[in-house]
Amino acid sequence: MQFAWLIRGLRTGIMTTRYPREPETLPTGFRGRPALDAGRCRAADGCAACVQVCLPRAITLEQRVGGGATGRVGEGATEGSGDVPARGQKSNSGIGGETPAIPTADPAVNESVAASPRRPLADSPTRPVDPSPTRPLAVSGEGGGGVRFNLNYGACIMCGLCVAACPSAALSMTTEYELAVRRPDDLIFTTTLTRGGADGGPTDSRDAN
Amino acid sequence: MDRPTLAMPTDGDIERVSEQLREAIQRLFKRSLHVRHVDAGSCNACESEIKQLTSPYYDLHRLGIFFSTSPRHADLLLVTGPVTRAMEAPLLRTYEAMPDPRLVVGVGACACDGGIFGQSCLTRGALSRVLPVDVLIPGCPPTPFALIHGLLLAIGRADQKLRHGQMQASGDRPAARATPTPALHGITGVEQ
Repeated sequence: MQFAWLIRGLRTGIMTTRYPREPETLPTGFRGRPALDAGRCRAADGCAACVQVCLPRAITLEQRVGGGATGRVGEGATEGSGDVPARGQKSNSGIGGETPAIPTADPAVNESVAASPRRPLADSPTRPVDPSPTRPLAVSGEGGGGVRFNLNYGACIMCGLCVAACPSAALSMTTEYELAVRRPDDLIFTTTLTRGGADGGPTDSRDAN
Repeated sequence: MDRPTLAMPTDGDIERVSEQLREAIQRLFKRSLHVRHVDAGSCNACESEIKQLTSPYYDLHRLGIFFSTSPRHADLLLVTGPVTRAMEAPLLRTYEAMPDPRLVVGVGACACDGGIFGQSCLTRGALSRVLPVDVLIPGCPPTPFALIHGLLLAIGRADQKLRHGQMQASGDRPAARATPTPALHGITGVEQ
């Protein structure tokens, strides 16, 4: 048959998606953006399982001391009022964390507290040394202000490891993929966690399933 | 708008004016769009997804979006990768070769925030450190649907759904757009 491809095409019909006009639902199991159920998260009690497994360091935890101010681990890093660290939340050291790479000029890097016990803060040469050695290195709610949870969807690679590591099932992968934004700040999800749940911060549990 | 307001506009005024200007610029792109793609050190996963856009299933041409082989014919610069040291100068040359007005869209976690590569002695870590970025499409790699959404968002044919890390319903526009500022009356293409 000379026109077999034509008949095959006519039998197949239209296979093009109608995506922008009709919403396209991706199958269950597709790893879209991870969402946090702040009511379940135990980060204020010292849990940092998701931070430890996050390879691109999209998830960070910050200790908040007192009422509103973000807790800073060295008194030297007082400049820069990055209450919500916009960019550069990742450590500028490598994956191992021993050797610092090119230091970033972003003050938010020095402010964000990495909660991994494998990388204690005092060992990081890029951060100021903690003046009070009695302060626990792991993030906990001892300061009274709770813990700020930051999830940067720009850095997230949607691997799902944080969901697998979460002991309280607070994180879940959704199938949402329409994540394009005009401003990089819109990619960052931030909430404040205290002992026993969030204190009125945004709870992203709408699509948790 | 009175003189003190013009001399020292509030943040809300600036946002409203910039929003109207952005809409006026995006109206210029609402017809067909030619895209120039530059691989600035990507791992080729994003390229694999971008290539799917021209497949019969996604068929980006039905939306009037075409891939151009020359930056001089392009309206939009599509950049993947964390902008390596070797590709920074070619990327800037490509951007310089494009005619105004031009849009820049970063694709993938690498262009958004460095991704797996991050910032090092060989990568700049993010596209926004090199070029003014209009739209960022996160994902590692983003699906072709996410790419279509991001491209349509760049030219004003889609609504942004993620704001401050939270998904919002489609059509949920900011309240600033409801009250236009009289400052732009008379400028061609700006609705009053």
